[in-house]
Amino acid sequence: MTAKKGSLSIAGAGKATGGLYERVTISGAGRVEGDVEADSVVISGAGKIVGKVKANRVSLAGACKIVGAVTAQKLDAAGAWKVSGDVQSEQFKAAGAGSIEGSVQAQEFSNGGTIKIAKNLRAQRAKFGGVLKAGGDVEASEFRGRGAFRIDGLLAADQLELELSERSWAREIGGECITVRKRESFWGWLARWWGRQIKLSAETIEADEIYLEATVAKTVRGKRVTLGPECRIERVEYSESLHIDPKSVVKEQMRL
Amino acid sequence: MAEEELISKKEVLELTGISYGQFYRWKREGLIPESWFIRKSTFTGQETFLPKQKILERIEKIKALKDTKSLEEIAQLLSPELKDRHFEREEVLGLGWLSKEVLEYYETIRRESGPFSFRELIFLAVIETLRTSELEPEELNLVILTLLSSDFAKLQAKEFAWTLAVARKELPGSFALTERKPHLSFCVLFSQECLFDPQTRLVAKVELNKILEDVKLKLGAL
Repeated sequence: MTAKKGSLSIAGAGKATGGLYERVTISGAGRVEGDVEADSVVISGAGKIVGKVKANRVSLAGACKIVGAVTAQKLDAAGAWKVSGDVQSEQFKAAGAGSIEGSVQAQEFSNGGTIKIAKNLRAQRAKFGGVLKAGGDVEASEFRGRGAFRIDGLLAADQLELELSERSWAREIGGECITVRKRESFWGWLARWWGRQIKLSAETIEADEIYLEATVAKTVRGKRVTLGPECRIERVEYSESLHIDPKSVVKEQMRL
Repeated sequence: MAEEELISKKEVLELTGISYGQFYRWKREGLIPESWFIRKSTFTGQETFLPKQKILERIEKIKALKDTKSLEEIAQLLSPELKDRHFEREEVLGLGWLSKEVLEYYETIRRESGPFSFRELIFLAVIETLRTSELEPEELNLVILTLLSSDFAKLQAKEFAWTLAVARKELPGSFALTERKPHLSFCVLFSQECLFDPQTRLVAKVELNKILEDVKLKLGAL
């Protein structure tokens, strides 16, 4: 026999304890203390859950905060949200200015705002437009990004496609097929006018197939390497082919 | 311990003939443990190194399996779930953290010797820890009984942090002739906190999480 679960709804400034619910809705400055397990959890406004959240569907909007880990089949986050814990989700859609003080594991990850992940991001497919910051590694089988990123560890994907419109950085980039293009936008133009270059910096870039534009790196290693305009690479090691655009500089090149 | 010979990632690829794509994919799928990656500075900047023998053996294994098995299946083969593994008697003793007495004691209760499951290994570790406490043999049996009848999956759940304790309650009435006061012993499993009446005293306590981690760590040496 399954007991019928109740629903929790807080509107305004209320307080409740965690538990097993059908639906949890917090609008306003509500606060839930304790772990929550529910079919759906919807927070809009300055809601806060102090505890772990496990649900089929979690939706965050506004200045909400979850102090704990989140496990959700589907997770939508928008606004100035914050999760202090790990996030695990089949489908994670982020927008607004979000921050996660843990790692993210997702099947599908997409970000359309500014997201800051303190540790690692691991996804099957990751898509971002906007700004992505990660304190650890970012790994996916497919990674497509447009905008800017800053990754303190490794950025690796089988298929890695980046379109930069701002300065970006990753310590290491690796995978099967890497394509980096510079995207002209009004903001990019403005940034350049301001004296800032749109470029990607990395210590090493390694892949079987590499195409780079506007990239500064110490070492680029690959089977087939093509350097488009505005690259400055200290050392290129390649095994099959190397093409260098006349507007790019390579200090040292070596065929393996 | 002699320092392991290291090899650069570049050399690994050259020696084994695998592609960059394969290497990064295998790493992502957990086929190459994170802990093997060692970053060192060289004259060309930072480079990634790996323990030579381990990585070369691992790649040969993956290459041999990859045509017939999915990466996910290989990952499972390479790091078999501890819970499905069985440990031979000699293997367990060879680890050097379990005393022969405890093992033999357990075997008399179990009425047969090895192989042991991971679950039993945990129980053995609990008994080993309790051996040095002042428990009486009956109380030890009580512990084993409690563990055997518990839901192991639940015990392993990290969020509960189970504690196993043996408590004694002095019984009223004095028996001048016997040295020992009569008492009632019982074994409790609790997470967080457990309170007893004033006549009850905890005689032994073990945190199961710690034991679990300990055993896993020690098995890592296998």
